Amino acid sequence: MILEFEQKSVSRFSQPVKNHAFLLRCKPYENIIQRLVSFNAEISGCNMIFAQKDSFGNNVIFSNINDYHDSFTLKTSGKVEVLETNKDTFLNPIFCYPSPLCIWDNEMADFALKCSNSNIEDTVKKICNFVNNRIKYKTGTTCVSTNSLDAFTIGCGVCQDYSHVMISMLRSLKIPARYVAGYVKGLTVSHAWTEVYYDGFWHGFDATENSSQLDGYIKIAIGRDASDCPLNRGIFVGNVSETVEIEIKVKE
Amino acid sequence: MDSLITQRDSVNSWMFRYGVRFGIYKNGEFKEQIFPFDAIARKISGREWQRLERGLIQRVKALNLFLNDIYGDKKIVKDNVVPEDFVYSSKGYLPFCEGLTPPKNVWSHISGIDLVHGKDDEWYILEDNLRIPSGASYPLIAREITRNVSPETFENNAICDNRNYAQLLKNMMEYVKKDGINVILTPGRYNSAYFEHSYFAEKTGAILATGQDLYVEGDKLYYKTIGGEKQLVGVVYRRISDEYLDPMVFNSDSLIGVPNIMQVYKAGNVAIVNAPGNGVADDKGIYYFVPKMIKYYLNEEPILKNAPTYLPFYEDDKKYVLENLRRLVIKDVAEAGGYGVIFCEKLSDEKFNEIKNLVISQPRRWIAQEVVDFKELPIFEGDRIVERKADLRAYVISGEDTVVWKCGLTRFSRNPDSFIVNSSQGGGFKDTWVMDN
Repeated sequence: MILEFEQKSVSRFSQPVKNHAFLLRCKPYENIIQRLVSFNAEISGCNMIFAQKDSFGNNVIFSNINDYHDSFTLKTSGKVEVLETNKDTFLNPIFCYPSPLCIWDNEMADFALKCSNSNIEDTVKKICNFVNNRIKYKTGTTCVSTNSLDAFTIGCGVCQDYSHVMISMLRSLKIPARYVAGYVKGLTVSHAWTEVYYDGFWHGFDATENSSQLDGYIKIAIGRDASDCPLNRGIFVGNVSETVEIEIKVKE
Repeated sequence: MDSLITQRDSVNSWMFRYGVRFGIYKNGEFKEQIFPFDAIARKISGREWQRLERGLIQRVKALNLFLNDIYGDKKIVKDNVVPEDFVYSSKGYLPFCEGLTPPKNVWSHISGIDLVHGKDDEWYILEDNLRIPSGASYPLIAREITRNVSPETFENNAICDNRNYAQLLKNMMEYVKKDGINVILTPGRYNSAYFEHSYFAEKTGAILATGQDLYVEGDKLYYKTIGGEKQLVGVVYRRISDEYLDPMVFNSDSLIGVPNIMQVYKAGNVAIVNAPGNGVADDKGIYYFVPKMIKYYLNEEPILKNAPTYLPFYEDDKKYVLENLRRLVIKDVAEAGGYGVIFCEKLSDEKFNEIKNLVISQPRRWIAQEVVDFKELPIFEGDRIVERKADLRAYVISGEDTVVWKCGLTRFSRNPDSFIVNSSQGGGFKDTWVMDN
């Protein structure tokens, strides 16, 4: 399946800022099940863009704008090919352990245990379903640095929290799980879901949608949790307020 | 040594004028204190030092190999010598460093190894400090002052010269650096070791810079001079901990770091001293495995011993620990600087049971050690000489070769009942004389 995407984000500052350094994860993840066919990125006021891969294999783009500017626009577009494969992939053991935003207590581990049985796929589906029921989708209740334990306790959150809670419950059962950030057909903002490792490769699950049929999903970045792979980070000199508008389009 | 002792007040007043101090945070307030100096030096014979030297070099070599392995092939984990848990749930483990090789393969350029001299005459390693071990400037400056105040002491005793420390640092920086100048990165003057940062910059000829003076352009790091010129930076001896080094990949609130410096490092265009990610090897839990590392990587018997240590993580050790808890020391693996160290002997029954339950419920969090009865050293208290517990921090520099500085920081406890000698806990220090015989 070939998916095309377009992304535009505009940050506006209430006053001009300078010495603006940034690091973006906006170029799709590339591996044996997602091939990057084409990619283009444009950043306003910046003519030198540097690219590197981080330790999770995510593409990162970084640079800086030293002159005063009052807005920052990132436009990307590209095509990816999603392939059907069940080839063995390497498992880094770090996805089995607690991470900064994926932690759990005995209560969460007990709930996970109640979902578990000898069939791993069934266990994962039950946990996905449990998380989908347990967490109510509500924006503004959590923030980017909310950990899974807090999200679980307050019982609401957004896609990032669904993924974190699901990851934590799986890891409490020693099932390797990782966080995925990306774009989804039909959504105009970025999304987060979960990948679970069994039978020798990674399987995608979306706890927010309670689904394992992830058609139209483009993987941008992976990590132990959201703190490993923020889609954008920036720092600048200026005491200002900032507004951000993002628009994403994915089509087949 | 007598002439030095009679002039000890004059030494301390020179120290005051030089500004030899350290800062501590207590109850949320920052205070600068004089680090009290005691004039009676600790002497270590040449013969004894040779053995220490060999043991320290062996240990640091193994720790460097461990770091290289953990962020690379992970052979020691695959071979079940070190359990995965102790690596991947360590706070010091940085996924960012996965697959990275620092310039010249050196991770722990400056290692501060803490030892004690047991009453059984055996030296025991207490702790490895592989992140940014501080304190070497204290004995350096103390020697400088005592040499001025009492030159005859150094004429009449065969004491190894310790003035080469800055040269050792400089040689190491020159060896690992990429194109560009040498920089010491300080968080600024409110840091507890700012005195030391400026002292080393002066002695090594490196530029003393804060995060504001450095910036990244593309995949290169530059220093901005006062005149506005830019200079390429080849090595950064940073005195900022990993989590504050780069707000783009670590703690995003950090204002003392340099945005995107880690991308420059990853591109191989700057050396960072010590390498980021070292925290995974000086964790109190990993300490237990260092003798095993020495056998694993070097195929040698460890020359220096660890204090007898148990890991409640292992069932057998847990059983032993719970049965003998009253006479053991318990340490929280996540804490440093003398914090989180609990002498169970002194606990009330209530507190003791609390700790016992914590060991049962969170075994991975603790290590337990036999209390090593270590030697006391004489110190002056007013005009009286009293005996106090003391340790030794040895500094091992890894560049082209691994060398031990022929000196060290001997810290003593001011409190007669205390075994904890960290400067942040209010102790003092002495010069350490390695004898040339």
